[in-house]
Amino acid sequence: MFGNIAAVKQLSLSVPEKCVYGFLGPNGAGKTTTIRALLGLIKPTEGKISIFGKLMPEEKIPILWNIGAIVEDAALYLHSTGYDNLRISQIILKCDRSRIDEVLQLVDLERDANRPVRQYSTGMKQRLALARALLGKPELLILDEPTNGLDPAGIQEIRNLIKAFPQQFGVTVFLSSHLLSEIEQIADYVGIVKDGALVFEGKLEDLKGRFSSYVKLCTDDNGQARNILEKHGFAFPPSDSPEALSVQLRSKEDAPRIVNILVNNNISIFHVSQEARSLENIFLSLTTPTL
Amino acid sequence: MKRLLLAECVKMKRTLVLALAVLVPLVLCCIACFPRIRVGMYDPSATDGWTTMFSESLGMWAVMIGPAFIALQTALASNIEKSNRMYAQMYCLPVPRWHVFLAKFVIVSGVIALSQALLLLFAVVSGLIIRWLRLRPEFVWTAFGAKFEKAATSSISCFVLCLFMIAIYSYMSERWKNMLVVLGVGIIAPLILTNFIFHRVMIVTMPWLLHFNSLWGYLRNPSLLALKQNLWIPHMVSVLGAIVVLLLGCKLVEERDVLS
Repeated sequence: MFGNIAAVKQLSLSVPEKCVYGFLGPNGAGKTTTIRALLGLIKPTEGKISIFGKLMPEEKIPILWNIGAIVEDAALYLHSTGYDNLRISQIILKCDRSRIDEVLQLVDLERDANRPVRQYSTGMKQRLALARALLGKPELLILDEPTNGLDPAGIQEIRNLIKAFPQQFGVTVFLSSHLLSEIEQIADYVGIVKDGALVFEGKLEDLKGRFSSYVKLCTDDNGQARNILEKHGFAFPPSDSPEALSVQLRSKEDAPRIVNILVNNNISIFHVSQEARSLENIFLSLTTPTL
Repeated sequence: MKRLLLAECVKMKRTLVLALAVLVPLVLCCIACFPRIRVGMYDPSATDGWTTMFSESLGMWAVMIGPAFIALQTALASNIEKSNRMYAQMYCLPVPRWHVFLAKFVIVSGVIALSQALLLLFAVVSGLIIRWLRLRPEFVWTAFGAKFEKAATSSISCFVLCLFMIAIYSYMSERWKNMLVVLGVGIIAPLILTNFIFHRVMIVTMPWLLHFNSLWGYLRNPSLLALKQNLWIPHMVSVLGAIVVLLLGCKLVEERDVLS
């Protein structure tokens, strides 16, 4: 809770192992708050946080041994060299010193390791932060908007790195972003959050399949039409406009069936059209407030 | 804890904190031992070389530099974790937050101790230079061992008496992100409290006056010496005060939500 506003409520995320999970939502949806709570940086006003089957913050230290994270921005010691930045984490994480060279090589920073970080570009800083997050061989990597502030080339570099992590290191990546295009290119699974609550979770294909094909109806009584169709087992994706009723199609036969049902129930239909939505439209319809 | 201390040492590399830890005692010694002693500003009647060197250096440290320097070093050390986001990153590591806070306190204390040790070293070197160049021919340079031991004891005492102050600054650095708060208190509090230096209770209880108790061995003024009390009182006040403030600091870091 921040004041009277619940930033996150009843959120249960199922993140499959060794995949990239995209945690998507508009600004202010509660993504960063969720990540902070998962990392024990903030305490919930009510309820419990469970991760790896352990309770946060009660079992914070054992949980954090299995997590590598970048919270919001790279957060590096600018006066120190890249190597020393990693050395600080390596000492605390008790891992082998040779691991520093391994992760530096992975993010292609070996040659710049002895330069002060203040001389690094934003992309290099972000890569160094990724290297630091990987240092302790975590099971779960939590990355909060890792491409923020990067140029297109930097974004591409980070994307390619992240995409390879699950297969290369067997790590699960939990990636938050407000950019659908980014998640679309990296993630296997997606969780969409709006006003602190989960509105969709599953594979990206499921998201497309569930919400992409629908009919848009304008009738003399949309409320009544909705009630009737609901009884016939139809689902209603969030509508783009308040005057129209959107009905989810499960097969191509559904469109004429919907018309028949409504006509048989004396509902006048002024407009009917079959529509397909882009992933972006699906995301917008799920996350923007309906009128 | 050992890991965090080592990590804090790595963080200190290339910092202003470390540079100042060497530079400030060096400059202080240069000011204390050359302009002042050479022209007899301190005590023209003094003829004991080593006693003058040590009393002048330690006196300058306690009166002029100590509290402000400690405030500056604590604020700078804390400022290495520049923003809350740096703390967020630090607190994502599998170590208790209060360990991070205590490690920072220990390192700052270590840096202050190093500065005081260097101050003594520079005082010895300055004495040797003054003796060699015969800048004060009337000075007698005898019984170095005993005088160094007395200076070292006073210096260690001064350090212990500063612990309360270091703990307060550490707490404040953690509590307020802006380092000006610590610096402001580090400058203003000693300025105000120095007016109470001759108060029998204040001198053994106020964190910003405690370190003056380490100078009793060098005072010759009978009216001042009359104020001297049992030295274990200020030492206990400093150590216990530091422990209480550190406990509050540990509680603060453990309970605080880390927001941007």
